[in-house]
Amino acid sequence: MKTLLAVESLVIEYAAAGYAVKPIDGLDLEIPGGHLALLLGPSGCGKTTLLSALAGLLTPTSGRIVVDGLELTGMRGRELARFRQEKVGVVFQSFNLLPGLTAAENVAMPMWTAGRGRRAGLARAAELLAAVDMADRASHRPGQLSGGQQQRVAIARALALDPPVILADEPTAHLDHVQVEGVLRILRSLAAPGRAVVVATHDDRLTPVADQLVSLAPHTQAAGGPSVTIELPADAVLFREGDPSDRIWVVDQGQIALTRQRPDGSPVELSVVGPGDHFGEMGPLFDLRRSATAVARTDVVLTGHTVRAFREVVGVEGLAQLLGRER
Amino acid sequence: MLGAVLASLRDLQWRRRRFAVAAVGTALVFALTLLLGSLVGSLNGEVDRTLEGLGADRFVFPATATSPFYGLAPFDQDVATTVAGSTRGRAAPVMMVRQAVDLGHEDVTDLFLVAGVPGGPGQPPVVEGRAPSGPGEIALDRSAGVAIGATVTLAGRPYEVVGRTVRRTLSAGNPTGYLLLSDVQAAVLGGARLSSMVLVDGGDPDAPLPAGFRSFTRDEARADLLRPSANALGSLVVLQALLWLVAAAIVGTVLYLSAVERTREFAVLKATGSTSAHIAAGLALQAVVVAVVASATAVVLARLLTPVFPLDVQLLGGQIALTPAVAVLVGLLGSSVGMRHAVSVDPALAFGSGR
Repeated sequence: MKTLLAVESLVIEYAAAGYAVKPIDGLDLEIPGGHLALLLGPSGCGKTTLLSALAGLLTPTSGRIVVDGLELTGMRGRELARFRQEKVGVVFQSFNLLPGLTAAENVAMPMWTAGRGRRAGLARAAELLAAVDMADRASHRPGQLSGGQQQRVAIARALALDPPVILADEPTAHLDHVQVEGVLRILRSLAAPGRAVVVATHDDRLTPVADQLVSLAPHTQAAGGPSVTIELPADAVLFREGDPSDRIWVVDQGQIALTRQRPDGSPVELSVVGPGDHFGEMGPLFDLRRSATAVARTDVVLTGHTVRAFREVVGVEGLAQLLGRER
Repeated sequence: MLGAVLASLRDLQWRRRRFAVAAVGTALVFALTLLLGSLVGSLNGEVDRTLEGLGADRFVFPATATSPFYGLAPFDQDVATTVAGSTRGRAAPVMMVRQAVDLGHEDVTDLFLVAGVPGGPGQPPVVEGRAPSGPGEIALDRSAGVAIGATVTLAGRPYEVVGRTVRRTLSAGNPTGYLLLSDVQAAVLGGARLSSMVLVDGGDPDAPLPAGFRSFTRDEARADLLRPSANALGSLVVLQALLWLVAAAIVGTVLYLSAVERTREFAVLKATGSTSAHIAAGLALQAVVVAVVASATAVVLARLLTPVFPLDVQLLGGQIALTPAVAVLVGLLGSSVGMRHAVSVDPALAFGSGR
């Protein structure tokens, strides 16, 4: 089947709280027509960031995004607006229907934005609302609709210009189990030849119906095994910011400097740890990438523990203290 | 474009109470600007009407006086007759003087008295009754509120009202009174045969005047008559400009608050293909609608309020026609901050989880 969405070596980096953050680092992805692809991963792993880039709302740092044969990277102004109209339809987590418009007008809005006539827009809206079983609510405003109904309207809006790619961000997040069923059914049915559906979700209930699972989790934790002891010369790098996390490290001898990158690329030193100190615990504990770079300031001897081994060393209470909690 | 425009119109309906409050507030301010403009027009207009009523295009007075109207330097009436003859036009001596008059029932008011000779320039353009033709007769403006046949008292002498003029006032609504030069000489000048100027209609404007005399054209006379009101007029114009700014601030504040509340809406519109220009146009449309509704309401309000003023305030057609245009400009100016906000909204905000 024809690839409708291709991502090559995608890197997205932005500044947050004065530091550079790189949630997407070298992602490659291909989604053919007819596929329902799920973007999976914990909060903060970059699912929504990736969707924003795929929708043309966020400019990636590097890499390519090709949608239905059209390269998105580098588009600006009207060309980008046309891309958003014609190539992607977006279903937002919080529906984002315009409160002053009726359901039909919300669905017709992309048509009107694209320059179609008022009647044509409303006719298409009626057709799509019928398809999502919302024909009898066409004249209702969003405030008069339940969450599930609003999400159906939002899906109909995403389909207004019949785009080849539908992007949905946590489409079941605000819905109860009854509403979820209807939305899941619609999303599955949308993934038909000529159209790909990409859903960012935490919701495991979508997994069985997906054609493709894309995990954005860093897969960081070392799978058990014994603790290791290593020696590094001065200036050697133990790990870099953004690397997958594996072990929790304890300094036996020497000093390690922990630095983080500013948005301009320059490093800022966060701390220096010495004998008896441990560092790098958050990544393995919470399945996150490294948030800092560790560089040997002197010749060092370090012991690396898996989470399980570290817990045996410090105990549960030690772990709690480590995380800043007191019992 | 249709999408953003429709979204803005629907938003107007959606937040109709807020926009109605903004429109009413702006309408009140617009009405005040209209009334101030009319006041300015009224003060200018009464001078124009008075000059027109005098029926002269030159005003000859002693060179030693600074003004024929306010810098009184009376001179002999016979000299005035000689001067009148030298102008080769229809000319006659006149005395213009401001005088407190008892209109009856201890109702004292200031009148601008125009005292001329029968048949000469300076005759009252009466709309009721007739012009004074003999001693003890006076024609008054209707604004004095004295009926024909009634008697007013000037310097202890009674004068019968024989005619009435309309909208002949000076210095912010003081009525003008017309009587014979000899009556003013008797009442105010102790019988001295003096006049303050010679009114000239036609003739040769380049003909030399007798030594010791100079003349004002009608424009110079207008400026001279307006001089005492110049500061008041200037203040009214400044006040008018400030009120336009207040109107812009009202429209701007409401549209800015609306734009801030609609931040996510703008992000969604951009995410679904609207351009910043479309969104800005939608906000501009809201500003125009508010401004036009406010200006129409303002005209009605101003019409209702004009009778409240003791002055002869009349809304001018030109001002009424101009108000919507200025209102739209004011609205667009006011909405510029909101537009800037809307244009700067990041479409990626649409992916936020807030509701």
